[in-house]
Amino acid sequence: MRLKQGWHPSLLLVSSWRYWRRSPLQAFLAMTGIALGVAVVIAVALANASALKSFSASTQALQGSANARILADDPHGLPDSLYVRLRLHEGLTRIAPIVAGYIRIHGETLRLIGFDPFAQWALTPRLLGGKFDLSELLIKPNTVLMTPGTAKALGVSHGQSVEALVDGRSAKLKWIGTPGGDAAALRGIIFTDIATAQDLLNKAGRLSYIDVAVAKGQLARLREVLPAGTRLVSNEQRLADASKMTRAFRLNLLAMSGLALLIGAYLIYNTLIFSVIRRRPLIGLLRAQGVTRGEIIRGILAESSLLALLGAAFGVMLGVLLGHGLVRLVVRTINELYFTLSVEKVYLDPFVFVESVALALIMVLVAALPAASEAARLPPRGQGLAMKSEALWRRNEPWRLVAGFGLLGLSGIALGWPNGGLFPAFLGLFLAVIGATLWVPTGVRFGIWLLGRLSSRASIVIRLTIRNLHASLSRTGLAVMALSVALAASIGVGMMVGSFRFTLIDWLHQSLRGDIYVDADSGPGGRGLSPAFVKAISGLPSVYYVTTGRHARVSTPAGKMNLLAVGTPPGHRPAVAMETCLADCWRAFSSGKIIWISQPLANRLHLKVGSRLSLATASGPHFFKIGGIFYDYGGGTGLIMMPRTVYANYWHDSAIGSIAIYLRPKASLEDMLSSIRARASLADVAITVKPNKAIVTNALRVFDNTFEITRVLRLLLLGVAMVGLLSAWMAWHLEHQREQAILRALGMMPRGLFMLISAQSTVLGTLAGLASMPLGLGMAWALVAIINPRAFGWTLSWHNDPPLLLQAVAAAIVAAWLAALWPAWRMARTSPARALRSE
Amino acid sequence: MMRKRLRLVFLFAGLFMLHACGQPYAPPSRSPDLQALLGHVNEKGFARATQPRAFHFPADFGPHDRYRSEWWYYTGTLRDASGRRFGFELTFFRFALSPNKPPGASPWISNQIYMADFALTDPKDRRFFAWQRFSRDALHLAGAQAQPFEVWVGDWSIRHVNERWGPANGGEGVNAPCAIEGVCTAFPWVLRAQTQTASLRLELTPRQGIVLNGERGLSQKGPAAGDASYYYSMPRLDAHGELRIEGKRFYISGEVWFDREWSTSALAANQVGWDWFALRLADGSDLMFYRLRDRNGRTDPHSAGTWVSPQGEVIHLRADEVSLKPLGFWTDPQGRRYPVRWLLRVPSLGLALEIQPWMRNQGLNLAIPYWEGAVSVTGKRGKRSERGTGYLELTGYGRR
Repeated sequence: MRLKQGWHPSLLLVSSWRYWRRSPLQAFLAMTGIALGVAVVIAVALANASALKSFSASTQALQGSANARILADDPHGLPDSLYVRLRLHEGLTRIAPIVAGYIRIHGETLRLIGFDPFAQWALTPRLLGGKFDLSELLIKPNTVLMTPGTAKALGVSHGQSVEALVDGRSAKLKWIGTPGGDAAALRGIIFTDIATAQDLLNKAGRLSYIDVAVAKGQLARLREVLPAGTRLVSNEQRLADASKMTRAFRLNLLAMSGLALLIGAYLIYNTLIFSVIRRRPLIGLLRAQGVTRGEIIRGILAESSLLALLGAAFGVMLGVLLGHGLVRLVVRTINELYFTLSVEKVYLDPFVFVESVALALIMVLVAALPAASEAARLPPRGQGLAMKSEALWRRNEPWRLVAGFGLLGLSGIALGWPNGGLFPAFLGLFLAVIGATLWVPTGVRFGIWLLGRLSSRASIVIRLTIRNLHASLSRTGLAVMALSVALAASIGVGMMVGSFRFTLIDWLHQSLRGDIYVDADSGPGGRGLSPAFVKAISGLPSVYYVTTGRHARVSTPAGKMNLLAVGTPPGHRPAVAMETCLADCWRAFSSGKIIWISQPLANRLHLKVGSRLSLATASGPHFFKIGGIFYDYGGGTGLIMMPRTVYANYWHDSAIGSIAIYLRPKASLEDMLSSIRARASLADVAITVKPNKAIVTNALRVFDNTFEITRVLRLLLLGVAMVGLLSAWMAWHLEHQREQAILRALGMMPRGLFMLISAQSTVLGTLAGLASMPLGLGMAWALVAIINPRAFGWTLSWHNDPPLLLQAVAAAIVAAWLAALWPAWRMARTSPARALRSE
Repeated sequence: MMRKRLRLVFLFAGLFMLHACGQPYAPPSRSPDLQALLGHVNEKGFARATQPRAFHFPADFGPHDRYRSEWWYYTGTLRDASGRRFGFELTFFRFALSPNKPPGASPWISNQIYMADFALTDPKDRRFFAWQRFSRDALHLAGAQAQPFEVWVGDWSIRHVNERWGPANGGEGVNAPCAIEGVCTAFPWVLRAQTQTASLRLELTPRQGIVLNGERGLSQKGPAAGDASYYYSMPRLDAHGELRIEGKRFYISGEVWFDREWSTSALAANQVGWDWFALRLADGSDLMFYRLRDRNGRTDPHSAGTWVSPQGEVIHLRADEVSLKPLGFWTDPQGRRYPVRWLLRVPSLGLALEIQPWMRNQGLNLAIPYWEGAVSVTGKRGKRSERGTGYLELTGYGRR
């Protein structure tokens, strides 16, 4: 019978539909793989975007129509008189003064923002549109506004007072109402009148900054009338700085999520190849009836696109859910590393969805191409025999090896690109992963062949297990590939985190040599410890000596940096782990001739010993000579060190923010702690006293919190890989029903069959685990030696972690075994007679 | 005048009143109502106007912080050399949030809040502008002082300048500027207000002395003792200076009506608004009248006025001596219907005046919306025909 041209597509469609309807599990697993991949990408992208969005949302809520901010280089802030001058004499009316600081309530750190409602009204009418009595806010002492969410989190009810620690002193704040506007963006912020804020923060007469709304063209004119020591920064600039500061971190996360999608693509590839093999007779028939190769290719690609789209749709939903969990982790990391963000909301960015789905579709289509071309290559029925799947798999083996080699070569080029940025490094990493996984099946085949040789005299069951495995490589090879990628990522990231942690501990021990640290709870720019207190502590008999410190934020042409000003008694040095330093390093430093900068800062700004760095001092910019570079893993954008005398001179701030106490050899730590606490009232400020050990513990806790997100992502990768393995086993099971039925018919018990499958899984898991080791170590090397220095500017020392490798193998075996449970159970349950009949 | 006071009422108690009658307060503009935010301030602890007092100058040009609210009200009709007319309003309000200044070290601490409204009427180009500013009395951002006289909010101000001047008719009669000690020496004043669109600078000198309204300056606004304000006027200040609107300059001169009032207590709950007339007639006489309206639009018996004859004789007018009839209305874009044309009669003085706005659209859609505009007057006193100019203020008109 001759078929009309127009029939072909529908015939193809119907046959395709029939096939997938008969193999719902295969379809489901493929879609799940894609869904998980897309979900992880979306979740990470959403969490990343939300962190930045929340920055701009809070800017929007707090600054409204203001488009720039006047900031001070003086740690004391701007004088009130500058604001008055701008308003009364420069004719600026859309301008609002802010007094900001941090307060602690129930151990939580919150932002305190003091505004002048009358000035603020012109910029943020929404903020003032909340529910509160303005006259109460203006004249009742210590009255504050916060969102109901913040109040609830602090356990405060309306009209109630709450004990707070502000500038190192305790104060009772009364909650009298809520600010208006985006409650999510205002979470964690306590608002009050500017007068209250000045009094609470001990900043009478001082402003933290001034928000202004001026026409773009007038910014330059405004800049001219500002005095030295002040800066006008546009909001765009501030957002760009925040985005730049966190870019490396966000890119790292995105790259990890990309791995999830890659594993999902392996899965689709696996499923489609399998589906083509199963449909060989059908495709041959269709070809004999006049369906062209092009139509077959298009049909397979259409199938895979549909699977991908369905999977992606599900992934979008899952990604949003996952994103809610991840955003907290991302924000926590950003808070620990960079600046304080208060995000409680996931901002659903349509671009993220479109991008992720498009990316998934492209990856799936690429993954489907081999299957489609395989299908198109099938001869029409009656014209020769179709190749067996194993033969096919093996035919392609040399190509896979060559391609793998090529990709690894390209990866080497990308990784080693001189002065390359983060992007080529990640590209190189991805190419290496794909390239290396192309070798994995061959490695696995070799492993199984080796096992076969070793077990040639073993029992029939063992030999059967191994022979079967050998025969199923076309199915399971890919699953092993996916699993080994997931494990390699786990090893790579785990090793990197481990090396990082090891480096951090080492560094903490080098730079925290004091026995006890005392901090004034008044923060940078706060009142600090009273000199009387410092003197009293230094004079205690068990104290060997005391070093003093003052933390500050200073502006450089490359943005804000942390500064630590240190004071040491004659004959002693501060504890710093130096990377490089001038010959006469310490003397030059203590005499104020040079400053030291941290390694990340040096790397980021391409600074060397001998270069100069311009810092905005209270009386304008000044160039400081860099005489040394020290190791720093404290996070943030960089740290600058200078003697306290130099800092006090240039920034007019001689307060002491913290002291490090070095005890005499036999002094008791406990006694010392209690004698410091007994003198706490002398400090004139609330203090935190911590022994060295507690600080190290705390730093490691922060570190572990920071990297919790990588742990979660590693688990997600493993999940995707397990779905792949499950799918492979199901496919294999379907393909080999007849053999299994024969085994059953020959007297193998269901339990025996179950054991057979389990044993095979264990072997495959072990092989995947072994394959993941070199891959993981390579990945770890790329992360430690290339990506970390490029992303954060710090050098990590390599730390071997054999248990991690063993863990990976164990995880592989468990994952493989778990993935085989259900297929094994199904195989064992199948009635042999029916399986035989259905063949 | 009470209008201010009424405004005050709206500022503080008015809000409260609206809430009391179960109507949620819906600010007409998109921005939140800052005045509404100020809430209801307790009268306790403030001084109250219970009996007539002696006025002393220049002290009584300055603020009276012990009273809850106070205002300095300037409205004027001006012309340039070609005869082109302009009207302006510049008013300063002071609100005390508490009788005493709260404790603390911050220079921002203050219990005194200032508000200023600035409006311009340009009938030739059919333009009307209105702006508003708020600030606290701190860091010289806003405030008032008696000597040398100054009241200001940001860069809008009226202040004494140290220049020599002499009154044109300096000596006798109630309306002679120097009849009261300390008045003439407080002058001249310079009024300044500027925005992105317009700026006004006027030098002001008095042509008359001080006119005390009510009973020797005690203006009773309600039935209870202390429901009153201290209230005086200077209906004719000579003005000359410069006006700039959208880059165009005009050299202008004319007359300005200056009102001063301070009080503590709010109006009665049934008084919803007022119509205030401040008219200068060509024969040299001045008429001020305020009509308080109750919920049903009826004239409250505490409405009152003051007539100053060309010779300076002052006659106080009771509510029942003045009859008012609206002749024309204007509805603002938000749907408030203002009676902007009137027929005003004072039979005892033989006065019959028709009051016509220069422009209908002189509504200020600010935190508290009201209509305040320049008007022309035509009519008769006895058999003589009369002409004049002045300002009309209409408040408390809701949406229809």
